Amino acid sequence: MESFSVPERFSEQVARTPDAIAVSAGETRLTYRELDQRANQLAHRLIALGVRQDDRVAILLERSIDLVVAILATVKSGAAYVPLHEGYPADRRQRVVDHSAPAVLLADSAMRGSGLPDGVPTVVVDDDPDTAGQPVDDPAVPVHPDQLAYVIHTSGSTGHPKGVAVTQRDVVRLIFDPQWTPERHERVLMVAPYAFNVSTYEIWMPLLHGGHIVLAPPGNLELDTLRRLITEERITGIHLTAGLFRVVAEESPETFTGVSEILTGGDVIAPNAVRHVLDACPDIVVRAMYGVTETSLFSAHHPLNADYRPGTVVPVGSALSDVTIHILDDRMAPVPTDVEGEIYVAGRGVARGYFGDPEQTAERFVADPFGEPGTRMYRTGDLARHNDDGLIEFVGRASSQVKILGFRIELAEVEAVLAGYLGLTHVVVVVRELESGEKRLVAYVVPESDGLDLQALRAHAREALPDYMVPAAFVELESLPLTLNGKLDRNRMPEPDFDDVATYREPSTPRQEKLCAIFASVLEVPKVGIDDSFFDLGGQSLQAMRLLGRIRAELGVDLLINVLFDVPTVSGLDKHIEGEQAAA
Amino acid sequence: MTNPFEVPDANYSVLRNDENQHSLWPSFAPVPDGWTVVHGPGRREDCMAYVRDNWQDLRPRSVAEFISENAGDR
Repeated sequence: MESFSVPERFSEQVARTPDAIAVSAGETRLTYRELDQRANQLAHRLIALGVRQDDRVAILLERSIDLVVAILATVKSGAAYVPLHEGYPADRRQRVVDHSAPAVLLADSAMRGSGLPDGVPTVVVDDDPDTAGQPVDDPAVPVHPDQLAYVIHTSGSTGHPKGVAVTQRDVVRLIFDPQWTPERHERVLMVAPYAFNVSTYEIWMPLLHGGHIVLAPPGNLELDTLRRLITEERITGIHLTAGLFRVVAEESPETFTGVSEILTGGDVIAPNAVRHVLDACPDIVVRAMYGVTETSLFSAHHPLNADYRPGTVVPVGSALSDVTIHILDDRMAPVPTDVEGEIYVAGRGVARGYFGDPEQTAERFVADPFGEPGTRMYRTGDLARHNDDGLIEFVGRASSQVKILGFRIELAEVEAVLAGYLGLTHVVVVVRELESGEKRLVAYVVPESDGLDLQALRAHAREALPDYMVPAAFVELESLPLTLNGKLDRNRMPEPDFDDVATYREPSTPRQEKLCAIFASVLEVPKVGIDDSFFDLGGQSLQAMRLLGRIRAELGVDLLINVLFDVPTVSGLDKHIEGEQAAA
Repeated sequence: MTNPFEVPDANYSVLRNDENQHSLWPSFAPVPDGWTVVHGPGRREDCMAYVRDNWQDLRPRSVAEFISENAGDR
């Protein structure tokens, strides 16, 4: 019978290929037998410290061979690893430790230098004489396949990190899904922060199939380093987040020469980026991946090869083996083709839940009315539909819905409309809160080439969207800022210049001055010129009503809202008022 | 679209399966096979309080039993 225990599957691989290279960092390399023995010693050390099955062991090391040894030793001891993000501030690491209550923290001297969390017995693995004296044989701890393999923390909507508890069975079944071609992942570059769920692929895909983990140097990755590593280490398989994939695809798609398969996902994948890469490297398979940490990394995929014709979106594709993806409406009924619903993932990969949080677990991991009796499904909060080809298309996040002036807005919808404007490579719409607490949409766009006409883009948006969904400001960027995880860093998006939309012309009469002041006050911008359009400055219908009320109060003039639509500038309104008064 | 698990004033139950896993469940939907109603129908916050008070150990029953059986091996 096939085992669903991670350490057992690894031991089987050691027996098959003891002398193959399992992991390397630069010139340092370990064979499967060497890696196994080092991990066994550290596992014995953990057990001697009192680590028991289903306990947690926190991990805080640089990207190094010791990191891989520490993770393997943890699962061999029967415990689950809790990776702490090397890039997170100390107080967030401490909160993860406090929340997951690990039996031991495994660290290295590099991380000790920057301060370790308190309140947990700590082993600094590269400075621990007690490990070297441990036996090299396998501790052979009995493992139940539904014991945890790891607890990975994600940001919670409540502001506290949530620990997603994933079982050994979840990991083994993902890695042995028959839809993979393991030969394509013979040499995998480990490049993601290991506290990110992609480490599941980067570590276990090679290690459970006899492949080779190539460790990128510690710290943040440069594009040049990535290119050099792929070439020199003859990387065959790699995962890059959609954001990083896009950057490489635009800057130097030939970086991927020699790679057999690229996995990408975690965000909306740019169809043009896929096309660029396939043009530069026609033999590559680009696999668009869909999944969340709560469903053990990947639930659906869509392989793209040289035949790919970019459409408006890259589909999420179809479910991986033994995964069921339901798209359900608000009465939990499956939606017909082309109708939007929420994604629920059932079957393989549905995690145990949120560590130490029964309430959030019970409301997100719910009974599956379509599956085997007693099984659960995870409701993702992602919106999708089946397209005419039967493939799943991602529509947006239910939770990225925002309310502006009382209207419920799906940011993804605004992004999709802007993306339909020719000549843009990226579009991101975010919500900015003004001092008053009012919210505004800001669109950040990266053009394909110089000379983007923001006014024309705004006109395009206004044609397709109700006014409350038209972004108040459009900001042109050369590239999008990315986080340590390679995802879009919404916090590092520059503040928009709300008053930067037209050439400023100052008021020349008292009435123009008053109108400019009213415009600026209603729109909450520092100053307004007489040729600036109310709508270009982010004005929306409710604000238009407020503007007309203020004009009536301060100037004693009644204006219809249609007038504002016809002449949305101070100079236009001024002329209109003048004409009305002359006629009266 | 409001998710059926997120309607503040709707009625919910708490379900439990053989592994002692708990699930919030909207009252309008039939109870799936393999699950038993252990609380409700009632208000959502009462259901969440029930879960908090009655589901302390998130380990499936079979895993908890396996671990206590094997604990003597060390």
